[in-house]
Amino acid sequence: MNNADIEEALESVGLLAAVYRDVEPTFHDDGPNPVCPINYPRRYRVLMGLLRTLVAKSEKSRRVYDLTTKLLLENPAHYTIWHYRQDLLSVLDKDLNDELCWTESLSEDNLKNYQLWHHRMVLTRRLMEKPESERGEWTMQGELDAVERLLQLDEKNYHAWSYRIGLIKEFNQYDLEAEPSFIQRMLDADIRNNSVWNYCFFFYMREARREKWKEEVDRAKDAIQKVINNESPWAYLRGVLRKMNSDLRSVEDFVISLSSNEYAEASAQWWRAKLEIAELKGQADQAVAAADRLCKVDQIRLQYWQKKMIAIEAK
Amino acid sequence: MPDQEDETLLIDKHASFLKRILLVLPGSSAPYDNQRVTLAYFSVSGLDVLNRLHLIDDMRESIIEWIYSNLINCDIDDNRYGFRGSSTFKLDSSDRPTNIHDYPHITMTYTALATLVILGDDLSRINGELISKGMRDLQLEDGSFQASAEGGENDMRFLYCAAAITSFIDSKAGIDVEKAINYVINSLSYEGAFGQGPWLEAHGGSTYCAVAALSLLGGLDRLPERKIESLVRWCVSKQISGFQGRPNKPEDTCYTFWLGATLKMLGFANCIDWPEIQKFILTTQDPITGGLARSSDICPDPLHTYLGLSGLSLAEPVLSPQLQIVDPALNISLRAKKHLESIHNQNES
Repeated sequence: MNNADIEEALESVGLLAAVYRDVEPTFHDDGPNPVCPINYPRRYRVLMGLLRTLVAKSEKSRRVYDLTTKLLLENPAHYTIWHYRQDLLSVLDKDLNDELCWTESLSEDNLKNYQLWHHRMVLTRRLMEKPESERGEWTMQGELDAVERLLQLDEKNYHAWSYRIGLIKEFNQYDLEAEPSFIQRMLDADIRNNSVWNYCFFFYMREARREKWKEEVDRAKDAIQKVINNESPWAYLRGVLRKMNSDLRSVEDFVISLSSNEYAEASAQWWRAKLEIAELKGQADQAVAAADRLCKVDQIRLQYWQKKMIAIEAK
Repeated sequence: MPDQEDETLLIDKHASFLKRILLVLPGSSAPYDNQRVTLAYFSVSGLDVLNRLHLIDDMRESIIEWIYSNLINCDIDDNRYGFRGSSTFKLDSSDRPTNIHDYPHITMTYTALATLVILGDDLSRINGELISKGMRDLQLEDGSFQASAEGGENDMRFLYCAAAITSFIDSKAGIDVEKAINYVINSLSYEGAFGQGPWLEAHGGSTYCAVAALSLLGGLDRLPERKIESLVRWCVSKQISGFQGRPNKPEDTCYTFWLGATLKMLGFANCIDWPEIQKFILTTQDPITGGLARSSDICPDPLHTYLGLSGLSLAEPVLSPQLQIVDPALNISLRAKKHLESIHNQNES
């Protein structure tokens, strides 16, 4: 590779070749018999070559920062480059709001990338360490709104939801006024979104929110009435009742009343609830009947329900 | 795809696909630049599951050497012993850290050790004590693990890798087992299965990591009977025709292993409708290039190919007798596991 190639690669990503003229690239030495060798595009090879030399010298300058910007666009999973960049942000005293903007622009195409979400958390931690007056336009609510924006692109994104939970937990943001309406918005958008139900559980099932728990039982019931075979609210209902030291027996009337729902007879979730209640009440015959029904209505789990029937009869 | 091709698992096509990964990857694979060791694992273990390891007999030695070239050696007072994902930040030919940013990564250490064992290496070049020392550094107060001493996120994935590594080096000195088990138990969600951490959503991948870690660390008995029952029910409920990873999500080939192996470890692999699983997997099969994909409308990749095959190997009763069965906790073939056991027996004598 000659200087012209290097210059071309730099210019192609909008970097000034003159800035790097004194840097001798360290090209990738993959050994005599590389395994899973990647046929890197020339541009990537050049940029990595320059970065290697600068990292070897531990140079922490603007030109290295710019290189990491371009490289992370090509390979957002390069965790070493992310760590190096996090150091650079401190050393160069970069504006963290600008960095967040840039991170978000990368996120839209890389929503399932662990490093991007972790980088966001690193930035948030640094911003929260500063006094409020030094955070620029950043606020916790703004950060949560950013998560909601990203969720619009991928409503069940595990990283986004985990990040939100992480923010609330780490920075003790449970009393944010906007959260309950956020939850409602997400549920209204998709009542089958299991991630929202999990978030709901995280948000409401703390001791401090005990007075809300009865309402949460009602929330689950409403959702079940809308879509009887939706696994999410049934699991939520069981979870909330358990927190209240109770179980499905306390909502037996509700479960029975669902028989008027046109989809009940064919609903595996409904029959599971009936099975569970029968077991809890020690009504073996009814439990076996429910398990038998599940063998027909939930056929893909035939062996499971058959095993269950045998187990009940054995007791 | 024509029905004819949907009916059978194209063993030789998948073997070609996996072998090709070892030989060259396109430029678009640059995002895998620092994870090549895991790609080698998917390929080598996949070939083992397909009973086609002989296809790389001539490469066996050089693959082993390449993996060892990613081993960072260090002194007893340093904590950087372990495997990198690739040579991308290896700046010279020394076996020591080649710069202050040259760190091993716990997933790469697990997959490197697994690949070496599958290829018949005896791990005599591995210093178990130094691996344990490095691992201790990665465990956090809450019992979870980070992947590297440089920092980064911590969750169930890396805890699993740590647990698996203890099996390969036959020593638990690198883990505070009690803390690790506590992290796992604390990650049991109201749904009855495991999230990546406390309060996080139950998920097929983290459920596998949790259950396998408990199994490897001797902690499965910490789950009372009724919790095992809820866990089993959650897992079997994830079958649509293939497996989904969370309620109300689409099916995805990789959960064949994550959930199939979990149910295997819990003794309920016979409650899965395996013919339906295979039917789904075959719709993701690419009859031209070989390989399996996440779903039928996407291109195959090494991870889904390997996890689809290793998952299928667990079928009860056996569906595809051409496949080698994997050990569900370590995700290497039973044959490879036997070799590992013989290494440990030799070390003891």
